[in-house]
Amino acid sequence: MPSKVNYATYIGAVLLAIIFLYPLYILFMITFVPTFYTFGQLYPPQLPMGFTLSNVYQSITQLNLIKPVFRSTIVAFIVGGLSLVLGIPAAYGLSKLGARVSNKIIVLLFLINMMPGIVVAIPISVDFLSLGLANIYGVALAQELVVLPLSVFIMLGGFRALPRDLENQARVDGASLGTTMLRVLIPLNRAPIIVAFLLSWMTSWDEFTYAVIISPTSSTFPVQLYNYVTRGVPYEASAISLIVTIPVIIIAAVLQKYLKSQYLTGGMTI
Amino acid sequence: MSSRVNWKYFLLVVPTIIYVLALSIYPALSVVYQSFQTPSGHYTVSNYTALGYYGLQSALIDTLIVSIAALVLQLFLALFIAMIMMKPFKGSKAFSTIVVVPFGVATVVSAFVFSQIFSPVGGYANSFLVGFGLNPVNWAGTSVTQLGIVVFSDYWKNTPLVALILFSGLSGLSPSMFDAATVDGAGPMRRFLHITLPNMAPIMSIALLIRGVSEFNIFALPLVLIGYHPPLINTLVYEFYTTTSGTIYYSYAAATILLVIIMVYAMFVLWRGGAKNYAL
Amino acid sequence: MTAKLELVEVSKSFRSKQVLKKLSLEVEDGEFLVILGPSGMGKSTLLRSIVGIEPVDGGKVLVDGEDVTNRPANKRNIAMVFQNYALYPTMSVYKNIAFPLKMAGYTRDKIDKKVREIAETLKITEALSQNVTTLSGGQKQRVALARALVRDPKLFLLDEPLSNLDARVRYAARQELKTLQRELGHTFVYVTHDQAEAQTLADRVAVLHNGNIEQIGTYEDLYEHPGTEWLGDFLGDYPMNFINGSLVGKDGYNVGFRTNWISEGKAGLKSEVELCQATDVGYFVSCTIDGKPIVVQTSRKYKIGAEVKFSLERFNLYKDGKLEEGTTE
Repeated sequence: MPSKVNYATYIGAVLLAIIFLYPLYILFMITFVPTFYTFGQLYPPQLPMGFTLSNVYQSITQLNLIKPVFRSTIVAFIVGGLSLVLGIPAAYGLSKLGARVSNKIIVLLFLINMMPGIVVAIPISVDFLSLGLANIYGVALAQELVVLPLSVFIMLGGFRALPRDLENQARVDGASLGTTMLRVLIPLNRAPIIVAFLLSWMTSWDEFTYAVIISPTSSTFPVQLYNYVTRGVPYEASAISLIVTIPVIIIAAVLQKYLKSQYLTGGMTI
Repeated sequence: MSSRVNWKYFLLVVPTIIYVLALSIYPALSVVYQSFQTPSGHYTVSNYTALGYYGLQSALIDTLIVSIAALVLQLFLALFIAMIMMKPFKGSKAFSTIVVVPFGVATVVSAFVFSQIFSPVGGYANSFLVGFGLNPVNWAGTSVTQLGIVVFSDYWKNTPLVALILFSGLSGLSPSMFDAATVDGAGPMRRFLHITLPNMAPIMSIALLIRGVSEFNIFALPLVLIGYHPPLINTLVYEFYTTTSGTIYYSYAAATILLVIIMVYAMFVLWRGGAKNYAL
Repeated sequence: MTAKLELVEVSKSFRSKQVLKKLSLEVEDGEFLVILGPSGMGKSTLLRSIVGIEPVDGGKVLVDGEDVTNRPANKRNIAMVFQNYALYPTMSVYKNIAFPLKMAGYTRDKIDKKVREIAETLKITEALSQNVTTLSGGQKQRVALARALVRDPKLFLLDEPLSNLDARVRYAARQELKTLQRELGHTFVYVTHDQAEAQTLADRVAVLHNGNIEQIGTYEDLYEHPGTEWLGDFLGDYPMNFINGSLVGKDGYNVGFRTNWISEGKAGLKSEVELCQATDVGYFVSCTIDGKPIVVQTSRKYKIGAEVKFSLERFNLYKDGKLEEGTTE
């Protein structure tokens, strides 16, 4: 009987793994297989029939790839950094406010977070234009709205888990609040802080709505990719897709151990 | 500690609150206000009445159908994934990496890949069908197939998050409860129905809340996969916004409607799921 | 319905660690057997193997002579009470107790009758409609018992069911459990690390050590004549004292004696008192003889540093850690 259960588990695991690997596999295929076997066929073969780097070469030489990826990187780091600059004090403050008050604030932040991106993006695009922010910096400021509540939430869980006496001890030992934060609390809380940063970074890397509305020209790579796809240069687009996907796949793989633990549902009790 | 809140610590939270409020409440109010304006600055409801002509109703219904179908698909897949992740088996680490990793794939990339899979010419879905001796499908042919591929394609990027949430819920349940049910005579199916599902209900409502809202805001995926037709709410708003200057007020009106729907939905799930489940 | 349980050379490993090593055991029909052992010695694994949650690597599990080794847990009709009770939090007390009956396909009326009967026996009728999360520890334990008993299982396994209770409640629950078993006449296999529970509850005690049964018998038997030095050391409030046999004219043996197997004041063994502890039953004097720590029971108080003298009234002789010869009173 137990072996039978394992059998079912394996079949399920393999099927699901195939379902989730398949799109990635297709992305690799249309990038590295000669277009004759992919875009050139009415019914392309499911297996790679050849190997070429010419698609990658063409997309690098013919498309303006480097700049949007570079801009995306800047935006992602601004968004991640801002999450920490605003989020660490907020999370620490909330951890001190007691569960009744802090939970209300967190829920308020999450409720506001549900605001549709397009509802926010369209009016602020007009204002940002007059403020000179109709560029990637404006995009970063707007994207911060998306990631800030979750970042605060994740780091709040970390600060709440720290023993209160540790901080008291540091204060008794003569450290100021700022020193206590920098020397004691932040180092101890580094796992949630890193998770919050990386999640913010990844969200920004992916974000499309704000990017396309606030900065439609010289924007981040999702917008550029969208332009290429609609312009109909699919195999060049496949190369840029793969290139930008590799770093986030690595981050996601590294993060999965944290994502699997309680970070996403953090302080929530069921 | 006394029940008095130390407001010194509240000051640390103020910048975040101001940031979030300023970047959301103000634009939302201005959208609502301008949705009742004419380009010349007069009060009107014509922006709303015009929406009917541009197919707002069908966009609403289609968005609703797409959201519900995608949610159901993702919940089922995620529940299976979470249950398999709970089992100790050789290769379980590799399995969870494979199913979690698409979480990092950008929506536009995901949309692009599926646009290639479901392309009527040179598409991998059709080459699959033909390989099995079935007829190819013109995925771009009807609204039904178009909405279908949007629903289907959404699983890749968004199931991992749901699976992670459900997994954290499952791992919070006591394993001996499942052992007890086995000893009490329940097989795998009945353990799932009588133990897993009822105990997972609160966390599933959290997943529904989080995913439901973003599902209703689905934008980049349909934009890349099917363009503006059939329109979903977000693509409709965007189309009004990008085309001519006169229709920007229509986009405000449509956005207002979207806003109201999201608020109603969030309230509904919070109320149904019981606010206590969110540690309030 | 009761049954006899037999384990034949049962083995179980987790990765490279062998938890059960060809363990054999027989439990008589209607017997209350307590499996006693230190933590981490595979007590729970043994129970889980009997009930079928944990598949065994080798050996057989027989219930009334019938081989159930390959039968899934939900088809063995063996009941088990888990350490943390494992009540279903989404169900009421009533539904918890009714669950095994529902799984066995009983009719609604029959379920109702049986649930109310068992609730009456365990005095939880009042709580039937309550949510299990609102119950006290003692009530939870009763509900878990009721859920296990309600379907007349062939065998009844309990995994440290009292360990989560307060000391006072635990004492009362222990007595109740014994009474209940005697009334019902079920076969009970009860796992614990608490020797007092073994003393009160068991018809026989089986001590688990290193993946096997060290010894099985009545508690008194095990206490008086532990078959190995390890068991003598493990069993009892105070470990058995061991000294080199040459000190009492038993060359080549290790001599083991309990704290009260001495006669005080007579010449024989003597040492300096290191600690004298007052208790309900006299004084316990700690000292060192031939480099070994010794504790003896005395009737008078000693000052630290004074001399204590005693001779052995009775003792057990051990060779290579095993009992060779035991004296009785």
